[in-house]
Amino acid sequence: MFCIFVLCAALIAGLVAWFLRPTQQYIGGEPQESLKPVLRLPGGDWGPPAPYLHYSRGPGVYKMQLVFDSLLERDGSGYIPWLATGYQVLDQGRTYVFKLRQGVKWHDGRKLTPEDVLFSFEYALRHPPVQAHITSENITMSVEEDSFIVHLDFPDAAMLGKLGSVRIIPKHIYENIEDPIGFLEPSAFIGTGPFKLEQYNREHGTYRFVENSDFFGPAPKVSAIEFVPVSDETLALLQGDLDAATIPPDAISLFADLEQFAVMQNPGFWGYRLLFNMNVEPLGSIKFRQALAHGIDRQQLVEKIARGAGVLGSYGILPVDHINYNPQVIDYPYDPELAKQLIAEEEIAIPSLSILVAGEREARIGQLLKEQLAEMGIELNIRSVDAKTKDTLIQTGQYQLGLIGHGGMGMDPDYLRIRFAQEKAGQMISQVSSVGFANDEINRLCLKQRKTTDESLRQDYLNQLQNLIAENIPEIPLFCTTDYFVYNREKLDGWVYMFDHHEPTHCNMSYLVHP
Amino acid sequence: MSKPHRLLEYGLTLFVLFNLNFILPRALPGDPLLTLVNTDQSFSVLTAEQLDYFTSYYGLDEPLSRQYLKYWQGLLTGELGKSIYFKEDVASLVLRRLGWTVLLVGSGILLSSLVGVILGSWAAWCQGSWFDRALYFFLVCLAETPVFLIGTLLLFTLGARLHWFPLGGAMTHFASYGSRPGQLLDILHHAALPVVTLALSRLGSSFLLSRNTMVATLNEEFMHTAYLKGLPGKTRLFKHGLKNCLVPVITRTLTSLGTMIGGAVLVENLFAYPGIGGLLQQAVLACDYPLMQGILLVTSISVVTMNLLGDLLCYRLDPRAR
Repeated sequence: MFCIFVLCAALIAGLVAWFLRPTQQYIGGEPQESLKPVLRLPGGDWGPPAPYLHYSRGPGVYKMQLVFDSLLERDGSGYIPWLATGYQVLDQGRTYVFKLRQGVKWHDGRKLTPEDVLFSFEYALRHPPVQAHITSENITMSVEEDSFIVHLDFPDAAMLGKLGSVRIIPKHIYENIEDPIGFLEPSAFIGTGPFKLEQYNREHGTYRFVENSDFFGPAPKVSAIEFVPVSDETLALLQGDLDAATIPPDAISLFADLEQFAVMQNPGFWGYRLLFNMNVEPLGSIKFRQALAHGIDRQQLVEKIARGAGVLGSYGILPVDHINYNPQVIDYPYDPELAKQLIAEEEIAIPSLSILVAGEREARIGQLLKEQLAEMGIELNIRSVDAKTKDTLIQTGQYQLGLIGHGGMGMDPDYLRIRFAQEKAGQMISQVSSVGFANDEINRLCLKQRKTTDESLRQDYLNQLQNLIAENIPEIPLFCTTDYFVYNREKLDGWVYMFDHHEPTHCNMSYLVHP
Repeated sequence: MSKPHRLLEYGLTLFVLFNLNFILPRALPGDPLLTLVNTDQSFSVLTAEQLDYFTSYYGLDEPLSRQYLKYWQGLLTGELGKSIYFKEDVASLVLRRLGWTVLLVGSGILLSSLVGVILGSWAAWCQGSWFDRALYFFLVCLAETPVFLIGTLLLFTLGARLHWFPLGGAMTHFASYGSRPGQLLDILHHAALPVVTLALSRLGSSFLLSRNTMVATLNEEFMHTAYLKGLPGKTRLFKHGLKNCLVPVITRTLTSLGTMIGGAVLVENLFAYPGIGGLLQQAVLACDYPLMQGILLVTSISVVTMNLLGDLLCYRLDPRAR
């Protein structure tokens, strides 16, 4: 018994010593005194905030972007000059010339040079970062005085965004690093961004970024941003443990009478779409798909699934908040009688179909669709599997109707080409479209818009493309969620959305003084 | 069974578990590299050459037989590999979080066993009374209540409403502590709700085992002899009765570690606690084979070790077993 007692005492002492060990990882030196507020946001471990180290999720990317800049930045209207003061697109979209900003300093005090920019691009081609924007196909680069020049073999309308988003890393630090994934020294976090990383603790999922007083751009509005893990964001916001968070629609009423809180509704760039296997009759018939479109009450899905915090999807695929959305695109309003009429006119045999879903939310959507289609006389069976299995079945075309949900719908509209005109199925669920769909005119327009760098001409192609897609209904975009963002206006006001993204805490402009 | 045979049995169990540790993560649907690309679907994809780069970097292009050999090599040298998702050594990742889970699970087991034994003994002593019946009913209901529901109720009442405890995390972040005891108190303050949640989730089974064992013990002849000798009730209960019913309780306590770790996953998620439960969940979602292997390895070894310890303690405490 004495031995057991000694063993337990030693174990407890060891545990106590373990818990009291220093856990905070100081990266950027001692905290500075400032009159500006400290902002507290929901934390969680999204990886060390460096281009080769963060995890491949949104929160990881955008924490990294607080520290590392790119040639262009994004605000509500589009791309704006950042490390590049301007750019030219020449030679019908085959040449990009970025004029580099002077007087920019790294967090360690050294000056940013054009060689740093060239090095960053070359390094990204040799060692793909987590957010890989460019590939070695189609691209050669050089610097001339204070300009960075990129030559492409063929024009690519999406290339401005890709080039403008590559993170610039310091050559004097990374030039001798052959394994950036294993590079975890404090110097791995030296960037030019408006914030410096002061503390990061992986196991607790906490970050502390402090303002960069030598930042070249607009001054930060806060002295520091702290990311802390919480069990429930709504409760933490009410208690003052957080200053901003995304709140479920049902909890919005809790903030209605509280003066210090303001509510914004996020744009709809995350949503659900219904795919068809057109090799299964009668899903190959356009009339039948149009009948399905008229027979599905998408507003009911918004009310019951998204609790009212959603917008209907556009049949042209680009969501209503997308910068290239065509407001004239064809719609198919809910009309079950018209749906039955279309089926009767085409003399289509009423089928029994199955829908592939994963997870509780999708199962509920499937159940609502089952009830709605039953009114048209269509029997819909729900086939529920786990998420990874569903992704595999969708990508290999083993389904009749497939329900998928994903984000990124605000991205460059070239994803329409990847989804509808690419020969090989994409890697990600967002790139997958219905099985057996092919349309030469859509393919042609997809390729045309890709090679056009004239914005108004490209918009024209995109408008035609959206209409053509809507006419053919290769898939039904059900709805996009528009979550509520609640913030304490006494701490920080003036939140900004990037033109293609749904989360204001991910936009650097939210933390900087701007008109 | 003799000691060498018993040790051989445990060794064989570990061998089977180590093999399952290799097979099970790879049997899960999903591809670690596709998960690595992103699931937010907001970013550009990897090209074929980039996919090849990462496939080669993480050794995913090697044949299964080679991966299996490397796995056993790593086991024997203590090299558990690099996490695909977290990009860090698995051993370092797991060890940094293990202490927090040990704190939760260990304290939860200790608390539930202590309280369960006391209440169980008391209820057995008052068998048939209103106290026994009320306690029995309440704790059976508690035993059937999901652990996340218990945690949510505690969080809302003691955390959000009464502000007695913090809403999550393992400590107050970015705080400067005046002293070491102050830091320790802060850690214990944050651990209180998760520990109580785990303890309550297990209290019912601990109470039932103690009560039933004690009822059987109280009906033994030696207890009747103790009564005839005129020993006070407390002495009969705690000195004679409890000693004899501790063996199954201790064994059960040590062997319940596996289920407690399962409960800890839910509790760690609910309270944003940095233990290996949450890490395992992320590893499964990301199809991170090396990390899943590492965590399952640590869990398997812990459970088997606790079972062995339970056997040895049983052997030590009960002269009849020797």
